[in-house]
Amino acid sequence: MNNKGQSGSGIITIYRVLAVSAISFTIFFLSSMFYDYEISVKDSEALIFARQTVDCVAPNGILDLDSLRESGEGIFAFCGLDESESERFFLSISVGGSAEEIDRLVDGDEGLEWVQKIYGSEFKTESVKKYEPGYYNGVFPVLLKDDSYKDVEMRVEVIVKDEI
Amino acid sequence: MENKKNIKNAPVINFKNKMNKRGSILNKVIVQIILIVFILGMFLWVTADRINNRGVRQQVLEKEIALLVDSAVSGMSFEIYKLNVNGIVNNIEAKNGNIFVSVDGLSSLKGYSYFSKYDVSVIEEPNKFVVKVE
Repeated sequence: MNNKGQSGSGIITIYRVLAVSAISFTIFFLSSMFYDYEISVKDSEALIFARQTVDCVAPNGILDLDSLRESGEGIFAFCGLDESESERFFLSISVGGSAEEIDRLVDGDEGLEWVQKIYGSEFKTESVKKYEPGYYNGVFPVLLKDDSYKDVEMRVEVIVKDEI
Repeated sequence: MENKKNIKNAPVINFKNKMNKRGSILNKVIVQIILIVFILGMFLWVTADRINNRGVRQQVLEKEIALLVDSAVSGMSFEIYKLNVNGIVNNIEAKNGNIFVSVDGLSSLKGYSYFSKYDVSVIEEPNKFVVKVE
């Protein structure tokens, strides 16, 4: 190959290096823009919130609905939570035996129930998946303090809104 | 006379030309491979750093501490050493219902919220931070 060919080959080499560099940087910047690594702990928060609420509402496993009603407060305030701490949560406690529901206590943003239903339906898409609220649904057997003590179940449902 | 000389030396010259051409091509290929490997190596290194960046480690620490505070009862305390597996922890604050953690010089602007009916405070010691729930 003569000298002119060699310099042309050098120019092509530089072009190839620049092209590889440009492609690499483009991929890197695009992935940086769209790469959003979020660690979701909302389900864990919902579980902890449910347990803390049950410990508050039914200490030592004894549920006294009368004292709860007499306080005149919502469950969050009854359990000593500020509005700023509880604004992300929705809580539903259904108290009942095997046959019927005795009472239902609700506090928080009820709109989260509707949001949770959407995420549980076919309308959920990948683009909104990261905003899915945290959820916990559990049953806690307790003793209901009435004229006598009665075995009942507390069905606790907690929904945690995404932090935006 | 010169033509005879040229003819006599022709195989040697051709052989030298062929060797130079092959050596030249190999040289170029090796240089190109080295350059491309170097560039891709740099790309992977920068991407790995981006994936494993301070923001992710900060997020991990904030959420771990928030969950611990959520599940804590009065009288509990948690120690977070400044020399941490997630990096060097510069500062931890608990204010307005949020946990803020600064890691490797990266300050926290948003924090992560916690819920607790108890008072949460953070005490700084020489080699650690102590989160107290009272």
